[in-house]
Amino acid sequence: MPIRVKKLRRASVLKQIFTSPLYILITIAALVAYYELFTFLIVSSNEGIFFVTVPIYLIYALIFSASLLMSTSIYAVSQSIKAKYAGAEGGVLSVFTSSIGGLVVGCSCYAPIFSSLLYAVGFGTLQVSSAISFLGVYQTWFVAVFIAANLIFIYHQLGRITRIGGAHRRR
Amino acid sequence: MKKNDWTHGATNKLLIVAIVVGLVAIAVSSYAILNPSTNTIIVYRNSTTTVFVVKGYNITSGLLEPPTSLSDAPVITQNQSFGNRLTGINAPFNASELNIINNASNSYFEKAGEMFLNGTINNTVGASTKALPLFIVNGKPTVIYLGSITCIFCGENRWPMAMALSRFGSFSYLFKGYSSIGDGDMPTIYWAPAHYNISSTVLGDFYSSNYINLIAIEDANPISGGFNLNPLSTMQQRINQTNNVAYIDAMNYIISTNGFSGTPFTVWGAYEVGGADAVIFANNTSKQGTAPLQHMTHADVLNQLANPTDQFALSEYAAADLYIAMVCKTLNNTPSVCTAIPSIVKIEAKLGL
Repeated sequence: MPIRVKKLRRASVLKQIFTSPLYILITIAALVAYYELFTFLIVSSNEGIFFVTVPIYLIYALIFSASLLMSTSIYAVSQSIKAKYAGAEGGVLSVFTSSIGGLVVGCSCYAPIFSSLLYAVGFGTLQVSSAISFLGVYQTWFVAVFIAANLIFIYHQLGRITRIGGAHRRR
Repeated sequence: MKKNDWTHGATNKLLIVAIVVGLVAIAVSSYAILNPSTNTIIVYRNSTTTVFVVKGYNITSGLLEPPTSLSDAPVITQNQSFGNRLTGINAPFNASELNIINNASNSYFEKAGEMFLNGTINNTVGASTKALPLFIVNGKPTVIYLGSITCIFCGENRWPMAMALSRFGSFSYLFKGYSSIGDGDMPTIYWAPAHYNISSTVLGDFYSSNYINLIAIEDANPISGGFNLNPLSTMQQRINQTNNVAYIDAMNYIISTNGFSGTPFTVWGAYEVGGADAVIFANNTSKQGTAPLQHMTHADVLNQLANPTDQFALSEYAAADLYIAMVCKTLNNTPSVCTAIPSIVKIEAKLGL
């Protein structure tokens, strides 16, 4: 008689992760780290002032979603070597969205870090100015896309964890 | 098992590629951050000669004088609340307000300069400069300003810019302005009335001097929004339509520097300054900035500048001192103001000019 295994759902995995004191601590640590990173990038770009030009609740949502993604990624890595790649990708994405988010949420009128990156890869003045203009107009959309990317990847990772967890239980 | 091995192997390779790309990206980013863009690039014309890609200019041209009012951007007289305030936008400074800018005492600049030198200015004041070949119009070096009415840092920094320029000449008109409502809504100065409802480029000013020119290029977009900067290519097209040689060449000069990182972008004689040379939004007791300037009227700012005893006003004068130092150094300290404010020469040394 085959052993019937209860299918693991994404919600169950999420509950498993965020009812664990360890992963709650990891989330809080990631939250603090990303907030500090955000503050550093904004202050560096805005000549010493913490000044943001997107709604602050979006920034909090971005930091929170990135923290959740980091915790989920670490959980994925800890579960199985086959989920390690999903974990690594998710961890990298959460750092990416937080870093780039920190660059775009300040006043994009003066963007020394962003423009230096563009000049370094060969952009000229006209292209850099166009990029700064684009950033200024669409910065809120950038943040929204990053939040969505974090949430989608959390959903994707949870799916991979449930599939791999199911395969383990059927052995 | 073999299929799993194949999948595992392919994933391994992808992961390695991703890691390598990430490391390269980190390396490039680190290099870019540690080595900000340079405004001059040396190229070799032949095996023994070097030339600068950024060339200097020496031209003869009239300068643009804008209108003193705009029918499609009238003065707003209604008293509005802070945060959504455009009260007095495009209104010209009256005689006493102009006098505060044009005829400020050198002693104020000197006091602030000494405070800057001994580190007792609490707001962020400082500039990173890069040397440029001169942009000479009608025999005089030029101060070039490129900014945006929607930009908070331009809004804050026009105050010390105007005060610095007042040491070498005078303004027959200045106008009340604001940074955009979504970008701080700061009370500021406009060099000329701005089309605050539409996308446009405001050119020209009412500055005259025996020593220097002022070429002011102000990008404008609806001020009720946030920061919104037209690409330089758009500004260049609009400038080209004026057929004014000085402004056309100034734009080409700016583009050739490869130093534009946003607004404000200024050239003070022989020195490029990317960004504002100060962040002065309040009477700060520490270097951490906040923005109470959003809750000041133009009268509040001018009253403080007329009698500078607080950190806000003294910081504005200190920021002006930096720009004065750049112009003085360009002119080999020949204008009388360069010696009338003794701290200017020391500031030149501190900035490494």
